[in-house]
Amino acid sequence: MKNKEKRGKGMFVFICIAVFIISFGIGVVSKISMKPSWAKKYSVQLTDEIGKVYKDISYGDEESHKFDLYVPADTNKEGYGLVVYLHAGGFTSGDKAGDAEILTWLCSKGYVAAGINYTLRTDENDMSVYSQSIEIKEAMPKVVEEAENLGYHIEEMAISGGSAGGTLAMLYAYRDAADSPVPVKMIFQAVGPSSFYRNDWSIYGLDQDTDESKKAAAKLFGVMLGTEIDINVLDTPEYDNLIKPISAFMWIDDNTIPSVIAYGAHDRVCPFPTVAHLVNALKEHNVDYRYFELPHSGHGLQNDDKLYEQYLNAVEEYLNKYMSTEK
Amino acid sequence: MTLIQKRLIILLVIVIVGIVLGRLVVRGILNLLLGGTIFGGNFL
Repeated sequence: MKNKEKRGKGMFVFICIAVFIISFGIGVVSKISMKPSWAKKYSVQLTDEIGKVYKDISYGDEESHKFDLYVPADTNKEGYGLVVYLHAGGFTSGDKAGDAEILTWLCSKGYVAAGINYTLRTDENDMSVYSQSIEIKEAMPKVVEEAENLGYHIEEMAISGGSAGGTLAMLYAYRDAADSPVPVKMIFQAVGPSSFYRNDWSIYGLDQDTDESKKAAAKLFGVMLGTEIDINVLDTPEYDNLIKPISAFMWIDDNTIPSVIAYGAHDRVCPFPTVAHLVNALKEHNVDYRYFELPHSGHGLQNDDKLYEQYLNAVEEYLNKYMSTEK
Repeated sequence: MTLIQKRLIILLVIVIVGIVLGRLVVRGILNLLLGGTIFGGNFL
């Protein structure tokens, strides 16, 4: 009898362990794969009723100079809005293919949508944030031209992106919009760095008052700028002029276009203190903007679903207001 | 309460703890990579 009881207990303990492992696995899978119900509307299948995608259209000589164009099924309009979304990847990785979902969603709303690749920084090249921003600027007329060739007359555009793509989107919107082939009506972006003051980049240890820290800052920001930076310039007013070409917030003025932006307060990639420069500049110049600060989230905006939903609702609201498809 | 009932309750608690821990571990790993808090915002 005792042996039987022992065996029974042992079996129960085994079952408890097995149940725990299975439940743990279910917890892991559910966290990774389950999206909130509101997010489903942004997952659209690209069917013939929605539109079509033309992939890897060349805009330049390099292998990386390619864009994907998503065009809506309705070809009867006189004019269309173009929405460009630039991919993330720390300026060193990523591809437009990773943004198929948002590009398809934009196409489903009646926009011509484009994802544009740019040459990524590697150990073998000297690409920089600045050179990448120029590639985007040079690509835009080709994107508009290709849309025209396909029968979609582009009247206006919006630009958008995430992380590195957010930075590049801001540079196009705030620095280069005057040279755009079509009027730029608004920008939306999330978690893109807009300023490069070493005191804000404490998460990378660049704020220390040591030569090592200053050299690291000069090196990192020099790589991003595409020009060597003297460490003696770093903390001087002269630095502003030097870093301006890639500092999106410095280009904001009274004519800056409406902006919808989102950042995570615990971001380990795009330092959160950098956001203050951007928001202050938008405020000072009375730009029509909406800023979403996700207080529990990091670079993925991953812990504040309700606020992220509000950000996306604001994106839709601003697209409808400044680039309506109902014309 | 019978032995079976007690054991079922224990198993139910284990299921809940397992699922909660699984979700928290994923959140923790994402937070390590991207930043973020372990509690607050989304429920788990």
